[in-house]
Amino acid sequence: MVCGAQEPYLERGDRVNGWKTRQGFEALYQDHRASVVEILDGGHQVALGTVVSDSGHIITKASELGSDLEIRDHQGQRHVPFSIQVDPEIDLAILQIRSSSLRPVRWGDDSQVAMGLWVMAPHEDESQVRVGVISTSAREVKRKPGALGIVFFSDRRQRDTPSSALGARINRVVEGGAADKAGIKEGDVIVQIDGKPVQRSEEVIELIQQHEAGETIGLIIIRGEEEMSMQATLGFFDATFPEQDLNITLSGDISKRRTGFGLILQHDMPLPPKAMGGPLMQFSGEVIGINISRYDRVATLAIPASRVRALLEASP
Amino acid sequence: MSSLPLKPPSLLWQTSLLAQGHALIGVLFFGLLITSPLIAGSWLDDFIHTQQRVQSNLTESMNATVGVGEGGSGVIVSADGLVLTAAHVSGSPNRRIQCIMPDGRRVAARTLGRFDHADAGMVQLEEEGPWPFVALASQGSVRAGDWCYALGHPGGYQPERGLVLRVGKVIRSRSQLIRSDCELLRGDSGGPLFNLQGQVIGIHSRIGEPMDDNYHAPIDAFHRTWEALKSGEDLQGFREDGQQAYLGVVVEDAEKGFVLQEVRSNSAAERSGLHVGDILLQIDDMPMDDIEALRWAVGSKAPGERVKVLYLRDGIEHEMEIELGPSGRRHRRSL
Repeated sequence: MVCGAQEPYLERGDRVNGWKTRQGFEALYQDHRASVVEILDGGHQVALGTVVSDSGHIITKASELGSDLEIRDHQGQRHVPFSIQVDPEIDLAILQIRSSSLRPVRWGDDSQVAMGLWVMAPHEDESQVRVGVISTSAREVKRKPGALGIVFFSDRRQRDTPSSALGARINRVVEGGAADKAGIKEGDVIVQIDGKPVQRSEEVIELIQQHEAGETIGLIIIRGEEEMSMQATLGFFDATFPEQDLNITLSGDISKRRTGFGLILQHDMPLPPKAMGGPLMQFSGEVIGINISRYDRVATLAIPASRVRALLEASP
Repeated sequence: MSSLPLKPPSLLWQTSLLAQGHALIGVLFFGLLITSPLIAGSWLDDFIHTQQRVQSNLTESMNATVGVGEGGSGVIVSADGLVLTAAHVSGSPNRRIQCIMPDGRRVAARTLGRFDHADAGMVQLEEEGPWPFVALASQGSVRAGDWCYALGHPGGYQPERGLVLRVGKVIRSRSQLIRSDCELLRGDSGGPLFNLQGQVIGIHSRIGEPMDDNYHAPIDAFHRTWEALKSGEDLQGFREDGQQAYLGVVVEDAEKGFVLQEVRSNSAAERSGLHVGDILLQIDDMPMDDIEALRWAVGSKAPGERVKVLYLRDGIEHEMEIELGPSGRRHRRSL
């Protein structure tokens, strides 16, 4: 069967982000390449950066950064930043390098941005570009609490566990989660969190949810006969429990920190997490935001230009 | 920049922008013309025109797009509150559910019919109208390559966020399925896909993993089953009682329709006089543009039911009625 040989079918290249369509945008974007850099950590790209001054200031997504940072500019040259400032509230970092080949972006007015406006942004590789539209009104996205990466089974099964009277017995430890990294094991019984005694799993959950990802909590656990004191640095909820949100499983790669940036712009460009920190541009090249979160299959979030500029003006 | 299919801008291009009512966007792009004097071209016109059409229809489209039941979407298509949605959102007919208006107000509604095979469903708002509504695209009007835009509530209705817009193109348009590159997610199901006139061309149905694997129940599937859906019929697609009708042919894709490779002896096809080499074009006015359409056209009927068949023999179209027979020996590609 010659299935669909004659059937009208829109070739890959002709789709909105197909290679043929993109040629036009890549031409529009060429002029702005000197304003976008790749951020490397340990030699691997973790984000993009947007050039915001004549004196080597670059803005990027803070929560993707490690301790072995390098910046690769559009000419392929690498620079080590000599200064890093972080605003954890909106997850932006300002890095500074010594370079004369970079050009600051031209800021646009984000107050007039409306649903349906075409936007473009660099993809993972700073030379590539994607196109999309603003897809909601500007709004606040509340921050999710951090995750310890432990699982309690339902109360009924919990009651079957004889030693649960002491505290909350952990039924599962998520591989690579905060608890796992801290050395906590399945079967450990949590008896204290930050000096507060706990008995039931609900109490543990309530205390953990008061903290955000990146914060460190102190735990006392009982393993066998032994009482142990531990420190765990909470991880991002969605990165720890991707299966909790079915939409994430259909979304490909998403950002570790997806929420809690104050006011955001939302658009429909399919960008990978490594493209965060790059500029959100109108076709004119004016930058109306900085991409901050690959949220799910249908949404990428950006911090509006006015908020980013306020941060830049406030920083020394 | 060397291999670009672009032409330098001309005064003509600028004036055509403005002349076509692009005043606002024209102004926006003057800055671009000055800074990038080499860049212009029909592709950009196409994008600008698309944005203008989407934005001018958007308020009307959004006013008619609703949340349906537990975490689905839908669209109002009549002043008295008829809502199109996905069959997997509306569920079985005659159930009480709620719809969520764009302002967050919840309105009582009742599920009408559904057509499982195409994932087409209907719901009736129970409060009196008039409701804001949008028009439907006419039958057979959707083409691969058409611009389109999607609205819905991905992840479910979220009052602080509201409706989410995506703009894309139709990748494939079939009688049972439209595919587009408007990215969808759970919660979008039942929401509308529009053409640039703001008419509904599809209802969001399902996705595959690639970003351009987004499927919509085509408006044609609603057109074909309209009265049945409105009167609350449950069109299950293939008969579940095993009493599926049988035509008795083995087919292969033709440029248009299906060419008969084999006509089974003692089958309805043989009795009616169909020959090997005849090309099936339509059954009951439904174009035979994919195997699913043929399977549905025959498989949804019971033995003894009659279908109207349009076929091509020696380049000439013929039409006849065929009484379908009882289910024959199962064959992978015979119907």
